[in-house]
Amino acid sequence: MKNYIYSTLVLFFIVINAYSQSPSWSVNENNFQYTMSFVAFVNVNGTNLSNVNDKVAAFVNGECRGVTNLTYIASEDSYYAYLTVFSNENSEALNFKIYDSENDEVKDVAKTINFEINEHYGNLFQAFSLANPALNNDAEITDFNFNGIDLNDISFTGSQIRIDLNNSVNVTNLNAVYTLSSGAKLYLGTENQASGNNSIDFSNPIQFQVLSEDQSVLKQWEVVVNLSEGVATYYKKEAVCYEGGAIKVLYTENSYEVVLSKENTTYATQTITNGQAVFTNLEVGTYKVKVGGNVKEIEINLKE
Amino acid sequence: MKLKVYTFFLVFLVVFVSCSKDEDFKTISPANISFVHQDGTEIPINECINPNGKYAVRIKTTSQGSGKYKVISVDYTVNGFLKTMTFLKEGTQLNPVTLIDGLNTAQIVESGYSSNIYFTAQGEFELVE
Repeated sequence: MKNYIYSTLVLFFIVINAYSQSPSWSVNENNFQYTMSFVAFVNVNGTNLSNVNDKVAAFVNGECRGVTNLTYIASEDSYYAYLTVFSNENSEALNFKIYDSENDEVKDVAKTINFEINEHYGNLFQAFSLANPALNNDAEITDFNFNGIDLNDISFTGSQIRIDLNNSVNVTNLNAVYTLSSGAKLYLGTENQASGNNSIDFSNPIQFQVLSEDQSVLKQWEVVVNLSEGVATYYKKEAVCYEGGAIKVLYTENSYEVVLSKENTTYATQTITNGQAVFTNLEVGTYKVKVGGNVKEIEINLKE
Repeated sequence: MKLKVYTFFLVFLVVFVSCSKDEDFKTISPANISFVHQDGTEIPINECINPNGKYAVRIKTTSQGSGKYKVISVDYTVNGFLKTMTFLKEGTQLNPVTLIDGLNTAQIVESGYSSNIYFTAQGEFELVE
């Protein structure tokens, strides 16, 4: 009978261990004087975890210093970890682990952070990222366009995008189509904008925010839309072996600056005088001429 | 007496003009025609033909025979316009030429020797659509 009981117990433990269980992470809060806290989202293999049985924990040299399950936040329709971490001193290096209950896996988070007394990381808009593998932290707009609208020109300067459109375009209701860094999101205020499915008034400069995939970077972007003025007519002379090409711009308004650029670099500038500006001695290549929001691409070839 | 003088003079003329032995000549003939710089130097094959450059047509002649050179006039055309170069002796002569846009052709009328050179004029401004 005794052997039977032992056998049953052994079998029970074998079964229990064969089917993994939630890790028994725990921390004795009474042993620590200070705390810091996190509002984090948890991502495994590119998917945000969304189960209240999922867990995250913080460790210092393998000792658990904080653990929590995910909590569903209805206002965001997402799951977050409200993690409190304990320590008795600043600067202890914190490591994190994730428990994915659906796959019954524990994942290490590559990111470490030093303990800072009373410090808080993350909020519901820009939560702290606990991910395996790490998520992208770029928050760039790599392309910007408007659905169904031909751009005269677009230029990126730092975090400002300047767009020139024909003056016939109604800018009060434009549908922005854009490309962002992988996994990033674009917000107008705190409202997420879907590329190609929005309606924005660009009469005035618009301030966008781009949140990186890992939510660690929130970058401000300004988009300025200019409407063209005046009417420009363009002429050219091809280059020949003894002389460079030439571009002549006739414009209905005087004193406007004409910018000639090549390969996205300003090549020369002139001011409209007596209704025209002429650029001479141009080497073979493709030039962009810009005046009063009007833009024309002109190719200078070698005439043979 | 007057008749005698005339007769003597006539005989003299016949003797010295008609009865001299046949005279030999060097016959000049054109050997080639080409475009060159006005200083006579050759135009390299890939040289950029410049509207500010000075160019000429050069005709080179050779001679055959001995004796005096027989003066010849060589008719040639440049882009269809007839011109003439007179040679008192064999050698080369130049005649300045103004090149036109496109293919320029110089050709010796009789022999058919010819030479071409292509000049590209930059032209006027063209509307960019």
